[in-house]
Amino acid sequence: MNAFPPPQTTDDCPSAATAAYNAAGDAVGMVMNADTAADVACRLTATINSVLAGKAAVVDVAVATLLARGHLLIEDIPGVGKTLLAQVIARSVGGSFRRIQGTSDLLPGDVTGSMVPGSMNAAGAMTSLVFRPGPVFANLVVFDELNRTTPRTQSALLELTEEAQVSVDGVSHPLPDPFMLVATQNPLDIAGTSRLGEGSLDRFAAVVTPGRAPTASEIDVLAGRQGRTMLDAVRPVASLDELTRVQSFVSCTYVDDVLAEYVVALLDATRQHRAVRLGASTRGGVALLALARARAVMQGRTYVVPDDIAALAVPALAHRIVLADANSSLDNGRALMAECLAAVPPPTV
Amino acid sequence: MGSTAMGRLRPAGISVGTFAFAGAWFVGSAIARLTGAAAVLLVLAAGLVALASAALSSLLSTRSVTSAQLRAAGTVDVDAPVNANLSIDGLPTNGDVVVRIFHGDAEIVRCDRSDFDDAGHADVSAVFPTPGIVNEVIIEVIATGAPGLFWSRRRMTVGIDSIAVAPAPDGPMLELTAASSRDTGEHSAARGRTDGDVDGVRPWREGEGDGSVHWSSTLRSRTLIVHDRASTTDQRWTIALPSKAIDEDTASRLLFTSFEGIRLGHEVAIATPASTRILHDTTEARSFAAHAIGAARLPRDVPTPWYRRTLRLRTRHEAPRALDPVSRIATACSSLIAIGMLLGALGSRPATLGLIALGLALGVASSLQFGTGSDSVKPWPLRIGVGTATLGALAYVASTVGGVGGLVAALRGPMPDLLMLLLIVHGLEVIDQRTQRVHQAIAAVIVAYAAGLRVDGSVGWWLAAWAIVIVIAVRTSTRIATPPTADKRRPKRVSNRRLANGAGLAGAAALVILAVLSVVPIPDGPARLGLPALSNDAPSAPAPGALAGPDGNPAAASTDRRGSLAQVGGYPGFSNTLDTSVRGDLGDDLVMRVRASEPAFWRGQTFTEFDGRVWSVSPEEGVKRDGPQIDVPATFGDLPRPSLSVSTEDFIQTFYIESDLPNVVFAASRADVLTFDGSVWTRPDGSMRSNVTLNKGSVYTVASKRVQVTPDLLQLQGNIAATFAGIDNPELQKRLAPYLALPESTTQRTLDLAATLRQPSDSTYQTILRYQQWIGENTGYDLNAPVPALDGDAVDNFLFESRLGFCEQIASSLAVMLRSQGVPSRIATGYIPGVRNRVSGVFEVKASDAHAWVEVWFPETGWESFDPTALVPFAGEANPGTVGGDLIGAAISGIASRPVEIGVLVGLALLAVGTVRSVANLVHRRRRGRWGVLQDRFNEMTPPSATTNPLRAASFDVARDDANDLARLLDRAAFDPEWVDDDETYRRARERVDSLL
Repeated sequence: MNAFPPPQTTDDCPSAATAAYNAAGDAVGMVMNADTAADVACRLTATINSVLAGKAAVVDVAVATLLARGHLLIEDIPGVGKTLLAQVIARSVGGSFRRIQGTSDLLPGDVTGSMVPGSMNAAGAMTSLVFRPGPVFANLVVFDELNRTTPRTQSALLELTEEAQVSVDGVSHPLPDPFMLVATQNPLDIAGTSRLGEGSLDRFAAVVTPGRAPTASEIDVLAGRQGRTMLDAVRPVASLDELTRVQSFVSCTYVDDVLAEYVVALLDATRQHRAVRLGASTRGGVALLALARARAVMQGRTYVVPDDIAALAVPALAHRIVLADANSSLDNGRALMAECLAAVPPPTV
Repeated sequence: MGSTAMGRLRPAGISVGTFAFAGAWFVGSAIARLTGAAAVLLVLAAGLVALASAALSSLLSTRSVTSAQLRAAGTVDVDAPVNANLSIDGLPTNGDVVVRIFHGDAEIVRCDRSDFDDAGHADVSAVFPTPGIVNEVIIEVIATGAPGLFWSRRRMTVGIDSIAVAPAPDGPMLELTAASSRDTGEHSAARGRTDGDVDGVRPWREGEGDGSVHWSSTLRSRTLIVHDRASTTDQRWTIALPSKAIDEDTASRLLFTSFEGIRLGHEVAIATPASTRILHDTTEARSFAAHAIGAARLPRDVPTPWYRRTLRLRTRHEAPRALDPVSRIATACSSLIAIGMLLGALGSRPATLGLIALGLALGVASSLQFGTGSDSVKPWPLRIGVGTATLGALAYVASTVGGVGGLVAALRGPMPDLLMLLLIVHGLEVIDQRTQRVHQAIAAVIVAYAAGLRVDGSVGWWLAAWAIVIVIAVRTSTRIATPPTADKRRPKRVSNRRLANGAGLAGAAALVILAVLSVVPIPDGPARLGLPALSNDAPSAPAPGALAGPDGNPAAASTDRRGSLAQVGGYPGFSNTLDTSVRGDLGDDLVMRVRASEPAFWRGQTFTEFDGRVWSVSPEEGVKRDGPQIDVPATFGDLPRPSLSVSTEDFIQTFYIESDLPNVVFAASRADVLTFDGSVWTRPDGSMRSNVTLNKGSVYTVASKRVQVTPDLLQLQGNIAATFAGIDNPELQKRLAPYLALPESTTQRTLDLAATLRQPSDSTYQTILRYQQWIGENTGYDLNAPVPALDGDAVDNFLFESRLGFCEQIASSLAVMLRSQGVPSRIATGYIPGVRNRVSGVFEVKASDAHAWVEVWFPETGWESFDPTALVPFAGEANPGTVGGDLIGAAISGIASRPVEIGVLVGLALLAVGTVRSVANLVHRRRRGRWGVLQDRFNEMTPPSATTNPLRAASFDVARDDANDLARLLDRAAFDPEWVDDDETYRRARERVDSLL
């Protein structure tokens, strides 16, 4: 299945889709509508915020990515809660959770799983090779220090992020649904790392940089009122079934044509900018709209407004822009994206 | 990038063609001096303010420049053009821009606006003239303001990333040591081939092929990395330098030597006492040489004198570009207005009309021929034609001008035709800014010329129209076409603001113009040259020096006592006799226009002999004098006594006759020099008669000498009667006798009244005031007063019987009373000053302004006019005032005189504006829908940086909840598919908007 389904046609989507969910929800005694979807999102956000100190904005983007069936890259200096954010997302949704630590000797097979000799049969001979699933076969996979692993292993993630399946020896193994990859990397640690290529980066719906927490929150962390100590107390606040249904609801949120035009204008602005070598991709636009849908649902709406797009354009597009200056960092991309955002007037009534 | 040190704003020169405006201004001043027209002064003051504001706007145009950067390759060759990247923050948006970059005094870059993009970046070509390291350059931004007439410049010293300027390689070679470059000391077989092991990696250097690229490192580092190999050469040339710093000559030789070594494939090393450096390629060699020289010496760094730095005024050419169509059309309109003004002033002659038609036809043909002028086709044949035609016409004028009369004829005749011809023909070659400015300047001269000649009331409107058109033409001449922007809403707001700014600036300019004019006195008339003097084919007077009526027939003594003189200008006072019992119905027709700086009596005739009912002139015919320049001799009593220190003043008037008048030459007392197209008899009583009648279209100029009389001066002369009685001079008594003679019919009660009213201690002046006061209190002015009986005494009848009368009777009574007390007096007829037109500055005299008044002879100051009915100040009291004060007075009196009409007009204008606005609003509302209008209002309330509705709501500190609610509603209305537009919600949203306001 596609991580970022293209927008549905506008005429039948919300009402028909809602009706279908409601029919399905009736069977399990639950009706999915804007309120219940927002409620799920709210529970998730609140839970994550209770652990992660003072990073509400980043948490919003993370939850939006989860609801939009996207994958998240957390890029920041060490010790600001990258891994904790990934872990608490995993804990707050019930479901399997795996963690991979990126090292330079990590091989693709270590991630995706590989063929191993099967069990002995009665004759004592080995049966044919069987597939032993790797750590990615979980609902939520945290890949720590993604840039520390080799480009080869990074590329192995391409297929599973895009198509949610793993192919080993010509056999495709679908990943569980829902599936979300949360990767972290440390931008300062250059020695012995491989930068993610443009293709790999483009697979991530959003890139966030949590940054240091404000003083009050930092005090809370040191005093143990928040932070890792609270991780154990986190119980799942949404079932996998609920999450899947919210994700489906999100993907059918209404997007007006003028908003799609707005997104295209934003993409165009990044492509026309003189400091840019390669503007944001169409996939970036699709991801931005998916995130905007999720944000609309999180705010209890059944339709996307320009503010959703404007609020998420930087995390969704900044990492996809290749600047003319080869030494540029993500921060340059963010500044440039903000510039483009200011240059394109959003649509109104 | 280094620091930026900004220089001051300085003037930098004048655009081509601006001198034409300056020239036009000076020609205009000459015209103002010649014609003394207030309207020309108006043009001059407005022009001065416009030029000053253009200069100021240009000076401020470079104010926006805040910083600049220059980037170029690290190593460049001396005198070789290299690509550089220039970016300037705050490049002026209007008008032309030239950017020059200097190193020392040498210009290394020159570019103009066309090289810059919207963000102020430019790719330019730089040439560095001296070798060495350049760390700092001077960037000079030269710009015109929007009018494009003046240039200003701003210099800044900008630190840049070091640029190594390599010297030109030059022989002979330096001394060097050649040795094997191998440790083994052997020479390999193949020179220059890669033979060493890979020693490591290093960054790519210019000129290396892709065979040596180390791809994995290159991919990882994202810069070109190449294999670093051991020495590949056989021979090493070692050049020994005494120190690292060398002079330019050595550096040239060093480069020459090392290039030779590199060309031969040797390894070139530079050995200084401190270290040895290997030059791998020519770039390294050039860089080394530049660094060895050190900081590039500043070329020709001679301090410029302060006046050159401050002024440096010079003509500058703008970047060639097509003229803006609006500017072209406005310029053409300004020319048309100028021609229209001049035609109105001259009256359209068939020859002139034919000329203009020819010019227009030529203009059409030439605009087809030369196109819009964006190309560089110079119509040289046309220019030569224009030049020859102009010179030839000037030569013709010069050859025909013989004496004053010829000049006058030229100024009225061929000169305007020539100017118009010049304007029309020059209009054909308006293809660039320079020719356009020259064209506008010629039009300005014609406008000034016409404003000087025109005396009718529409001059103000013509000038206003021309001013508007010329401002548009100049303002748009530098306009740069910008592609239309996608977002239509924002530019509209900007244009509204610009409109308001423009209106404010125009108001400020008007105030400044008025302020300038308020110190400019009303011009005291044309110079003695007497510019216009013209008489049409008028009927000649029947007999030399005799009076003729407007039709040329001898003016007969009027017999009909009322009504038959309905003819304009047929005032009975302009004949040989003045019957005090006759008063014609004169009507309100315009008789003449008088250009003069002060009001005065325009005197026509004087009467001395009175028989109790009829005044008559002396029969002497006077002396004939031929024009055009006539010195009028002083007559008896005209001059002040030289013993008294009374100043006289030249008072110059030009009379434009608008209705047929008799051959009486009007002038303010006392005429000194008359410029008249014809002959004039100057009579001993001080009046003048011409050989032709003054019919419509005649123009003449009089320079009068006015004694600056004040009441104090008159008071000082005491009792004139007593003074004359004390002088035992038979000659004087004889000459005074006619002015003291009383008619036989004078009644005793008249004499008694005069004697009673005069107090013994009175001065004559006080006596006159008492008589005037008594007449004012006891009689009434009435044009329909009963006519006295033919046999009775008119004065007695007026003073005691009817007590109603008109000016002739009032003046006669005063004269008789004064004569009875021994004061010499007479009657004068003519016109009162009339009403002054504040813009053209002329007095408009109507037929009903014909008047009679008393003249009293004061021995010290001469004849002085007194009038109980008309208020005309003494010469010494009249204050010319200022042009600006006059204009303000005109505006105030104009508003005060027609409050209702102006109120209605303003109301209508407001109504029209309101209608247009509400229609526009309606259209806008229909286009945007009611929610769209709410959205627009919300947008206007919030800063433009807030782009989306929730962000807009967040910009409110108070009433945030209302704002949030409004933002939600607006977003729903726009993007929610299930949204139903109901009135209740709309009302809620509108209330929110209103409450936020």
